[in-house]
Amino acid sequence: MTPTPNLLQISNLHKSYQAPNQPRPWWPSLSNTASASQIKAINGLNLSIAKGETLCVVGESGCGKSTLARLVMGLEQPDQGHISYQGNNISSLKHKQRQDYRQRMQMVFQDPYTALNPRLTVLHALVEPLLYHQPQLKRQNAIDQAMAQLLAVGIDPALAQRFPHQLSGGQRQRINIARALMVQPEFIVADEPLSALDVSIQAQILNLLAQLQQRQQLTFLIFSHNLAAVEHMADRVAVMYEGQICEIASREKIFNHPQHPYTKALLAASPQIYQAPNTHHKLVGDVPNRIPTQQGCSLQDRCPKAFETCRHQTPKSIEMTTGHWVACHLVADPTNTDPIPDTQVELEKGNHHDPSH
Amino acid sequence: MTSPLLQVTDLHVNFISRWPNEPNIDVLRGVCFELYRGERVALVGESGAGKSLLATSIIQLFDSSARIRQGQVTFEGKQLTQLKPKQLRQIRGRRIGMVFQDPMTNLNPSLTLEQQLLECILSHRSISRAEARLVALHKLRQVHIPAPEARLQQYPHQLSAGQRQRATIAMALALEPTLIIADEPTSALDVTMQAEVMSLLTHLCHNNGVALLLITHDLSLVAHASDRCLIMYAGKIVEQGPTSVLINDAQHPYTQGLIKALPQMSSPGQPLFQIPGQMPVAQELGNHCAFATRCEFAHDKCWQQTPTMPTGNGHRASCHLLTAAPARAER
Repeated sequence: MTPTPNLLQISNLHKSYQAPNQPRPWWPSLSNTASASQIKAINGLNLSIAKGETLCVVGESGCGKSTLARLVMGLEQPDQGHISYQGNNISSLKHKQRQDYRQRMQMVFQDPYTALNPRLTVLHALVEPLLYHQPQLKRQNAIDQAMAQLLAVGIDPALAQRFPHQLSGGQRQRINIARALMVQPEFIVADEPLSALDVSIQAQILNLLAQLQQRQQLTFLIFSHNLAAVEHMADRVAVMYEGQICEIASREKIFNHPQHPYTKALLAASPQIYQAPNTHHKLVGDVPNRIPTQQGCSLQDRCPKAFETCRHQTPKSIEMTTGHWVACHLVADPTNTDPIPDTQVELEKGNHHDPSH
Repeated sequence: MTSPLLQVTDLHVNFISRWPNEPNIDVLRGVCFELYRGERVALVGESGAGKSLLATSIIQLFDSSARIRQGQVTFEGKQLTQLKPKQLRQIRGRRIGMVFQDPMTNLNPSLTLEQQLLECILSHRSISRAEARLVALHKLRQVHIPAPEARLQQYPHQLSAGQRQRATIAMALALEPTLIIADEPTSALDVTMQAEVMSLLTHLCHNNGVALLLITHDLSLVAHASDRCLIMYAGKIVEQGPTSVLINDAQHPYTQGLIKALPQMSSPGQPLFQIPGQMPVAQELGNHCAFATRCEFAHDKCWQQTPTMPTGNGHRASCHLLTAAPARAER
């Protein structure tokens, strides 16, 4: 599964936006540092994806998932840091090279209702990207490929002349996937591909993605907050909070031995049909508004186990076991795991894994 | 606890077609259920099953082309289907609160929370603005919104998605209704916010004796957040019963399919169970079981007559398999 170690390598990525509620000063800024009115969407993120694997990124809305997807696709330029695809930095690509890159990498968007142009038939929507990237291709040839792709995603080619409003949600999401696959990409970025769909349709799409991956050796980068689906399909899982990866490991490790308090809280919040909800790893409050006014760990205000060090120092990502990286002071320094007394009770009550192993 | 708070009997709702030669489309086809005080009832089904139409039919908040063709809705002893629009307005919001799916679209983006909450309170109660403001503050505290005084002056876009949804719950609660209808209240939210909104709704039911009708498509969500569960398919309730009994011993093949399709139910890497095909549209429903087209156990009888829901109070399902052959294939 690992002929080339890393297909995509992201190092120390930063991206910030102007905060919408803050008035922008009319005078030019003298310093280059992020001012108080900037929202740091991506804040020093490192990530690598091997060829052929499925990496799922989970996190709450507002943690920067969609920004990361757009940066990877080259739809946004990073402020700092690199994204390199097979060794080439994608932000320094020239127009011609960038087109080639976009052909290798395609995106499936969240909402199948808005991602398709309502005025184009299914066939037109599928043929368009192909003819853009390969203008020398004969139209009939492109149509044949589109029909073959429809069959591959399990859509009756008789539906090719329909418009999106004549299709169901599941069919539309299949068309979205088919459109992404038209230019024979190697790498698919999917931003919440399931969240707009019913449970029964989710199962169809999950099966389809698994099938396509096997058949075409695709690499998937999937953003989701549906942990049940992530557990089903991921090879590796990255947990994202405040524009950083706070824990990354194989699926088994994340779901069976989560280390970061945020991962534990996410897992506890995910509804389980046959298990009573776990209320021990609960976070307090909402996602903060990411205007950098404080120092220390970004989870400090919501973490039930935050202690003194968390207020001053930003935790560094350390490797616990092979491939299991965690950025948390509780895990980093086992000698210092004396959380404030009233949370100790909670630690003992919950089925907490001892952070020292 | 003896007489139900809400009783829906044999409710048929159809959409009047726009063209004279087209038949009217029956979307709800004889829905019966009752709901008691303080009870949390979940209504589960795929999109297109008629869940939202049922919710809006109760308070007749539906599209102008929809009509209640037959059936009764009794709420607190009143026949809602026979009330005049003015009397109905006394019930909507005041006795029955509603929480909609997307908090961004059901709050007015150009009014502050205070304006919206006060409008809701003052249109039903004759109290002063200052008193109404106190009520609004109290309700915002009840749904755990931090710094409610400051929040009242803010616009919906200044709140996070979870706070917006809690604000709409506060608005639904503002007049102390006895029933809250929540239509997919968490599908626009993250798992952490979902857990919080669900625990808030549960807490309100237990402490204030508010009854809850929770509409969703996710069985794993209702498994621990409802007392009773109604499974809806193609405009009919096909299975109902206490939630814990229903999810552990689903009788109807559709319910079994919904449970098996959950990603948790198969080991990672294995293909998931999927219910083949899709829900028939209302025009295609013939005189047979609506699920027969997708059911792996369908036999001759399923194609000849429509199954009926057995009478009673407990766990029951309308399926020919249950009446014809009791010892059929288990889950």
